[in-house]
Amino acid sequence: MQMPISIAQAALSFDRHGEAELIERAKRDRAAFAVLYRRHYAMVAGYIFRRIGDSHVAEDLAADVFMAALRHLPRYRDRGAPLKAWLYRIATNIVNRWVRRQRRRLESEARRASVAARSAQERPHSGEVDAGTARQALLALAPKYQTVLSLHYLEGLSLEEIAVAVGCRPGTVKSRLSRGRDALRLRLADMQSDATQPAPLRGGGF
Amino acid sequence: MTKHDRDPVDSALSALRSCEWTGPSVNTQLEERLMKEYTRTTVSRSFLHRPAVAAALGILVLGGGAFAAGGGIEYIKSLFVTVEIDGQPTQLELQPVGGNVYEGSLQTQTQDGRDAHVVVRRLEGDPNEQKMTVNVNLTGDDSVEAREQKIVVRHGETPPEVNFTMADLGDAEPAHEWTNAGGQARALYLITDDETGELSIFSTTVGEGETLVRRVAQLPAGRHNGAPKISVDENDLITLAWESGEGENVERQVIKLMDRNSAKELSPEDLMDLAGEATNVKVRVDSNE
Repeated sequence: MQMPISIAQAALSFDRHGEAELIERAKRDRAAFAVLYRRHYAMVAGYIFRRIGDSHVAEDLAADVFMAALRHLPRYRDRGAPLKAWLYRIATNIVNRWVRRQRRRLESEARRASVAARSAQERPHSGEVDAGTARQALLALAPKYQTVLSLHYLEGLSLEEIAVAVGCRPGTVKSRLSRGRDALRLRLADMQSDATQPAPLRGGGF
Repeated sequence: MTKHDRDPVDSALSALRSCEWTGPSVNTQLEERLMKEYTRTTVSRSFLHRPAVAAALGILVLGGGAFAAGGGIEYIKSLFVTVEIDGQPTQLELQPVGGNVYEGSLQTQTQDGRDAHVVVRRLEGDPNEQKMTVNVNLTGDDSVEAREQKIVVRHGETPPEVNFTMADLGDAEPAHEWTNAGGQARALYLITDDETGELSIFSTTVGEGETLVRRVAQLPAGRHNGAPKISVDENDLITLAWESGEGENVERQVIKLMDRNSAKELSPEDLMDLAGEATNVKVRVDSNE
């Protein structure tokens, strides 16, 4: 599957050496931190938005990401990975925490979506999935699968970059991608099955 | 699925990928908040690092023997250990046996008439880490007791080199909490990776307005099962002990870790003193001075 280059990624076209210098300056110069913020805000907000689908919540969570980045930047060290990997790590943790807290509400919304599809007798084209259904399916997965699927397929990160972002080995990322896809496929099939089941009979029969 | 059908997983991910962020490319209100917070925390940050700097300077002043500061602590190169059984010390020299491993062993009798066979192995190589394994077998007329105690001491930077925050600890509860000699509130978290089974040990240090999170060690899967007994002395020397087995065949694994936030310099004896309990066997790494 081809990974399109997002606008946010195109904006990060400065070289790694330049970024390392900027990060060091940002530790003591707030104007330099502002530059880092401006360069990465849309990337972070976009990632969160694609995962949760709510732009207002995405803005709030993006704010949490940059506040956390500000607090921990003094101890950040260039380990050969771009700053975005670190920001994705923070964003992933914040989103996963938000998803855990919202789980009941999200499950309820997923059930309502299945009922609505059944009532409208909608049947999507075989294999085609709309964004709303896709998001609900993704949010229902274990956080570790949501994370790697999002970072790889939605944000275009390589296995190595994801490994840095989540703090595990590339081999682990690869196996999580495979299992995550399987889990997503099962979840989508369940949702499709719920949507196509006939509505339950009302009343007692005779 | 027919050839015209699309993989629903690809379709789902493609649908999500097409959701572009339509909000502002920069949130100016957030930027103002960040700038204010930056100014506020810059002042308090200058005080947070003073204790760590003071500790590093202390090490520089006291150094010259086994330890030196500035980016790491000098590796102890001594290959002599002292094995003390029933209070009687015997010096043991470790010899190379290949693959960066040095080994020494001795056999003797304990006061209660058991045969003691002690094997000490040390792994050389990483200047920031010392690994030592001590096997103690005690054989009596009607019993065989084997104990293995592995000691890993890390000092300096710990790989993998990734920055951590409290968010990386998720919902984990601290396995151990203490206040060190420097008055800092500290905690230890043990988090097992569901996929790989690897055990990561994180330490936290509460400073002024923020918490420092470090991954102190990452242990392979399958070797340390269950909850260990944890103790930490006032110098932040962390000891984790796992016991498995029953009856006379008990395996005990001990890992000692020195987190670089340690408030005081440690001596080689502090690091490697391995007190056996029922065996009354102690193994101590000798200083190379």
